[in-house]
Amino acid sequence: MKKNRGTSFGELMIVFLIISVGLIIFLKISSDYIKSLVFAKDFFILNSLLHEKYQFLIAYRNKILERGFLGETISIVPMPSFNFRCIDFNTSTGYFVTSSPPDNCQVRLISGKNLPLGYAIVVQPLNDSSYQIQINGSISKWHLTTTLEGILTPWHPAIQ
Amino acid sequence: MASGNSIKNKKGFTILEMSIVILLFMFAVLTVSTIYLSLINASVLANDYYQALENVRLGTEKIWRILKYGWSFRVISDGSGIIFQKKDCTTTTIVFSDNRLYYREGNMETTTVFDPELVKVNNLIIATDTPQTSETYAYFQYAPKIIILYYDLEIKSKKGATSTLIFEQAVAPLNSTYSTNLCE
Repeated sequence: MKKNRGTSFGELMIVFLIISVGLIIFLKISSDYIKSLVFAKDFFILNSLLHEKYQFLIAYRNKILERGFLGETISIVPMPSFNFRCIDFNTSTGYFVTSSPPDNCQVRLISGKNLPLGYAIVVQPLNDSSYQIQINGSISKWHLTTTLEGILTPWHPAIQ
Repeated sequence: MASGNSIKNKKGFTILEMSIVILLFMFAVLTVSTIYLSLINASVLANDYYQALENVRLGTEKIWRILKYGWSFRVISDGSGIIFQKKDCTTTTIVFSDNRLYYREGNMETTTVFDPELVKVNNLIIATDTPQTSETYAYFQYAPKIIILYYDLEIKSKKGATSTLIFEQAVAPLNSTYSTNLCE
């Protein structure tokens, strides 16, 4: 007479394995939703930062170029050389502050808060006294880097 | 007789075995449905946040575009707002109050920049640069070259969950380089 067999250890393990894989997949999808949200938020902040720095460069260029028209004698001021990696704004003086640290630039907001992002400005002079600007931003948490590129010309209505 | 014995020897399931199986099955269903619901909740939450983030993007883009082509900027003393003239010289105000960011153009009705259902404004600070000279002969001599807006926002989901969004926006107004203010 054949003996009635119960469930073997191997069979039990297979069942547990299937259940565990199912659970892991569910949890992974669920956490991926949240992760993608945090990523989208961080990416939005990084993009805002790059655009902000680009506007800083435009304003900085305008300020330098206009130095020639401030006094009684109008003089043409050469295009700024942009020999810096970081540009910030000092709220107490209302002036731009430039620096070139060896590492990425820190992000300090006008409220005094710091953001866990980094950026660096890379400038290449072009033949027509314009500059090719690259602003490289990064979020170390995501190992993500992104670049905003543009060209700054010595254009100003007063010297047209 | 032999076949009769064989039928007798075949065992069915006991009530205890049946109960354990049903209990295990119910436990499995409960676990899977809980995880499934949390997955749906996560998806709804993410969708709400994306909508709120898109609303922030639209609002900040609108502000950027209007400030870029504006004239005669004047920041309210505590930095909570800015009064300026739009491209068509309409006096326009952007001001932070009661956890909202208000936008008013001429005599038109005041609107909010961000949807209050999706975005709560915790703080807004606006700053501009200092002119390089005290002369006011040409517009570019006293016009701000940069306007910086600091946003401290909370994006909201319909289920009440919130997430902080802190960032800055800068605008270098195009008209700040001109000699004449066309709105004066």
